Amino acid sequence: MTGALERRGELQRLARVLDVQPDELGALDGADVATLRQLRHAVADRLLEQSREQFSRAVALGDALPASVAAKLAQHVMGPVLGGRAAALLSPRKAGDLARRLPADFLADVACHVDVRKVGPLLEDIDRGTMAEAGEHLRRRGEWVVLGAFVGHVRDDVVADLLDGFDGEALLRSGAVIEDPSRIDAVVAMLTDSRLDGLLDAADEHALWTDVVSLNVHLCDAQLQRIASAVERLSGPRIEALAALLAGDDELRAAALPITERLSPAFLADVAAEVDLGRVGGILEGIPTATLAEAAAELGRREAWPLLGRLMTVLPDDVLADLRPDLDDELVRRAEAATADAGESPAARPGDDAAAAVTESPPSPATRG
Amino acid sequence: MPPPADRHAPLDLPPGVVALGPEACSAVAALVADAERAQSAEVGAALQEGLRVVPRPLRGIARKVLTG
Repeated sequence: MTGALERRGELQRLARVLDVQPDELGALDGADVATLRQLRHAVADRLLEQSREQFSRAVALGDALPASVAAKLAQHVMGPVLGGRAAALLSPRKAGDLARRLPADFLADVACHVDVRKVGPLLEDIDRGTMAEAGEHLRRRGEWVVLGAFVGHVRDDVVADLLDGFDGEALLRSGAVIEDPSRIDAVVAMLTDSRLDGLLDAADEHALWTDVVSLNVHLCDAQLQRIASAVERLSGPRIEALAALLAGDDELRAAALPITERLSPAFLADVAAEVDLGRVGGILEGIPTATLAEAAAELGRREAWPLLGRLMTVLPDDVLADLRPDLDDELVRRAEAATADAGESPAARPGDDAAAAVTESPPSPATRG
Repeated sequence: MPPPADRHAPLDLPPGVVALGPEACSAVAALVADAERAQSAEVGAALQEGLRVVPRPLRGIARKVLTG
């Protein structure tokens, strides 16, 4: 899951260094992310060393000329590819000076070709406004992988400026390919709750839930809890769509566990009321039994007996067995009575013949492995 | 600091690439060689072009810097 996204990003970065399209890298189909990254670094180092002498002369020329002429040389003669590679040899002061004189769209071009390992220290001397403007060009072009590479090398205030201009889709697409995963938690922490809501709305609109889930492994408890809270704020149809997606995709559901296990009992009770549990019951897998018991108790407090009965109907056997001791007998009796009135039995599963004939529910959720 | 690698020698491929077999290694080596050739040609052309962009009074200095 996470590996697939990282691999896609790494292939794009390697393709750019080699000046080919990612689909021309079929020979590397069996290579893992770490190997692709090692190869990219080796090729970038090699290309820098191969032309180091000429790049050094170009940089020396820039130092010898007035800054305005040096900027003209960088833009119109070196261009973004060579300029990006030669940038590794610039001094921080010169890099900052040139960046101020070059148009933001050209800086965005250059950013696509620099080796961020080498230019990271130079970024300190480039002012926030220039960085934000270049970042905006990259966003408009959908250069998520480039943006994702820079996040690990720029200050938090610069990242915050960049993120200000991003909509939910841009946040998600660039966030999923952040090259330095240790930064992901800090970046998510910079987002307000409403921006997190926008990010999840974008995940729903652009079928990017995999990207959201891929972030999980890099988030601490506080940010996971914020994402779980944002999930709880999703509108009913979006919840149902997400629940159906998770119910039908074992890998995605397993990866989403850090979020689903943080969902509150009250929310689960709301979900039980809003969605077709027979269709999406699979999302209940992995949610702590205590949380499910509390959700069941909440449905009892609401006297939502048919809903409680449906919840009990879709729970996997082992969860139900774990849950029974935590449930009040009266609660269970009323739920079973309501279910029986509706022609369903908590003892039957929607996938069972008898239950299916009555409820016409889609297949039962997968049992836990 | 290790001595600089011979820039004319074939690139030492990471073990993970070597493990993919000789065919994959050849394909990757060919891509790297293409990238090196392209960069070499582009750098040479850019330095020549650079002299034309430099204002005439500064060209002497520029030529000196570029040719060493």
